[in-house]
Amino acid sequence: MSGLLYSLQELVASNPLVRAGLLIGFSLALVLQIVPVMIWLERKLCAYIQDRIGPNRAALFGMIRAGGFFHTITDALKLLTKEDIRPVQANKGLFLLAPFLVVAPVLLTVAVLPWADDVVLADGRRVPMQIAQLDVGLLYIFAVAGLTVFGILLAGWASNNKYSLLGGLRAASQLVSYEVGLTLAAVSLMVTFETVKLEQMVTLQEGWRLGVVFQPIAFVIFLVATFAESNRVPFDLPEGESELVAGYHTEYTGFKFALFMLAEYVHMIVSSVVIACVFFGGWQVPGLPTAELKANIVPVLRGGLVAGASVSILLAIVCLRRYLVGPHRWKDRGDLEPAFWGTILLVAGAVQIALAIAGVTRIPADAVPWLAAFVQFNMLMMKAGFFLFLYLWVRWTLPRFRFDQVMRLGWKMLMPIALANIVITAAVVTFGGRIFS
Amino acid sequence: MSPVGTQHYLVVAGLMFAFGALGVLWRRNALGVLLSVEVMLNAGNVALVAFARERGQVDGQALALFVMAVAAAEAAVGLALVVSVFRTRRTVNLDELGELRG
Amino acid sequence: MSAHDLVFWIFAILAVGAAFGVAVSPDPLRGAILLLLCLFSVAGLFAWAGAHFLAAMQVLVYAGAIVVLFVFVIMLLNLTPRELGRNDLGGAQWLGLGLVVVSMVGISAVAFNAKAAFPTVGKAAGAGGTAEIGSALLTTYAAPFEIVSLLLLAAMGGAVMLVKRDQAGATIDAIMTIRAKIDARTSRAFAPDPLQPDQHGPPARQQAVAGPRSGVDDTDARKPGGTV
Repeated sequence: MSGLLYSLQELVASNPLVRAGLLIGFSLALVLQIVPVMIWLERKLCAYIQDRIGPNRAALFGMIRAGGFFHTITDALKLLTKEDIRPVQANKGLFLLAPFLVVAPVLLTVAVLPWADDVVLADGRRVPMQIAQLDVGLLYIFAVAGLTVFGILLAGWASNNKYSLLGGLRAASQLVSYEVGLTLAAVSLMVTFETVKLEQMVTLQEGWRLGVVFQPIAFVIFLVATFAESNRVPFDLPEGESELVAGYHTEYTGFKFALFMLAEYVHMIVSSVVIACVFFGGWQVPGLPTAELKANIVPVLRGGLVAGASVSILLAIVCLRRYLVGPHRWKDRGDLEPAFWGTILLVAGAVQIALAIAGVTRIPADAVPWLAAFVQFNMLMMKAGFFLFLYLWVRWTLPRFRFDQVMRLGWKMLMPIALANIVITAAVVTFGGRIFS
Repeated sequence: MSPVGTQHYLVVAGLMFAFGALGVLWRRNALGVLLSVEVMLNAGNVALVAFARERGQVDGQALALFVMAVAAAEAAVGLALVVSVFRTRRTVNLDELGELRG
Repeated sequence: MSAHDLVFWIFAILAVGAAFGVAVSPDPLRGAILLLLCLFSVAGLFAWAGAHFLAAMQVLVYAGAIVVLFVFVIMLLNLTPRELGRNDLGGAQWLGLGLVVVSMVGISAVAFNAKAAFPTVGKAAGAGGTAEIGSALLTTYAAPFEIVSLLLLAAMGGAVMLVKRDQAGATIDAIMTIRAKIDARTSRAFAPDPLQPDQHGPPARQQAVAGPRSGVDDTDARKPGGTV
């Protein structure tokens, strides 16, 4: 077993193509698996914000409902099996091309996301934890994400439908307008960090020296602009259900519609990861730069396992109490579900406690860099997760902007503020001294 | 096949420029002409980058950036002209636009 | 030929093919999409030559903004084939293609004998980094940089001025488009001829016209698009 792991490590370290291939698989799998979770959370969170329960019926074996998580899978199956309608007058080639032009660029942007710090092996070789370390880092994300405008324009046009065309043109003008503000906010970030590369920006943010501390205005502008770029409320006029039927994807059914939704959620996820990396230190554990993290890996892992164990056992107590004492509302096998989850959580908690007590002390020295990378990856996921939650929270709290309000915000408020921010940042860096030298 | 060098880039640039020029001459549609002009400008950029790479300097790339900016300006103004002409003359056909109308 | 060179050939053939497509495609929207393909391939060529920043800028500026502008205008104008103009070359495109290929083959025969491959080691191999271009732009080429920004400002202002309608013109446009809608619905036999823009409905109505119709909003019954 350990021989297999060693040879795998050797393969990854020596062959950049293998490393890139594995990371591509990992990144895409990660991003595409978070999407169903996001869809589920959106519906549940929406429900609880609106003081109702939300979807909770789809069940496995008549018993396991998992709070409605399987509704996402059933929805995906439904979308895949629906009839694929194409309007007769629509331009066939463009109609087919448009969803792919929307999905492909957002999936390409995951190539420069840094999932963890470089893993330094025992002989000094570094294994970067991102697919490609481009010279142009952040600019690559902006460049590629700007290509989604095409898909949306072509989707609106090829549907041969007045409402789709309007929705497509509105969405495209909104995207292009907020791209300006986004790029200008990023420029002031590049001036602060003195680099364009995303992984260097993350490496420079140690301890309290986060990006948001030095560039709070840029953070606000960036956040608002990414909301607009993903066509998320309050900027979702182009796909507003009450305004334009469904905007540029009115005429799309089945799998193609699923691709549009996928593109929106993947864009959200990538934007959350980028914001977490650039403004909040990404994979940096607060107070523990990589070297110290590796030196103290045992207490860190122990602490994490204990925290996980306590959460698991707490939830297990809640579930078991619900099964033993609480009101049984389903009146069928669904009432057994809390027992099911309770036992699983209890076992998980016990395993984590056992690992914390005994397993953690027997980590081979070669595994320490990988475990440190794992901890850093979890840190990044927690930070990105907070921003994803923010996306959902804002969606179900704020009303939608009117289109002229959207344009006014983008051009008359965000762009001048971003420009002023660049000037101020440049002045501070030039006359006050470099921040990250 | 020899390893790729400056001459390959120059051939590509030359072909692109030739096709762009042919497009400008052939197309009877103002929008098509503007598209072909963009192709020609890109061909120039390819040649600039090839020379920059051969000499190991970034001057060619900086110049290519300026060409890109000028192309953006030209595209914007050209399209504004096309829209403005379309409003009054209701056509973008260059054959008809070329006729002076009283 | 190594895999590295194969990537170059793919991008080169795509770029040249798409350029030819832009030159001959009758439909401007198809031409715009082929232009997008051409620009993307050129960005690939830039990246292959080590000009990473330029490749990113190419995609960001050209493919992400200029072609979007083209597509916007194509969609707004919503041209019927009659307004597009006859684009039938009668086979001239093949003659042109032949001439171009022959001349390029001739030129290449001379060029290939003289040059060598791109340098892969030393100073030339590492050039093209973002920092290098940035410093070049702000030191050696600072003056052109500022002048180009002025040029862009002038272009922005010029484009806005060109398509701006003054107050009276906007009112007349509104009236004319409403009249055209009414006419299109009432007098079905009459179809405005795009070559004679002064016709606004049955001849009796033409005396009521205050001026040439200058609206772009295609709200006629014959057009599929809507006002934006």
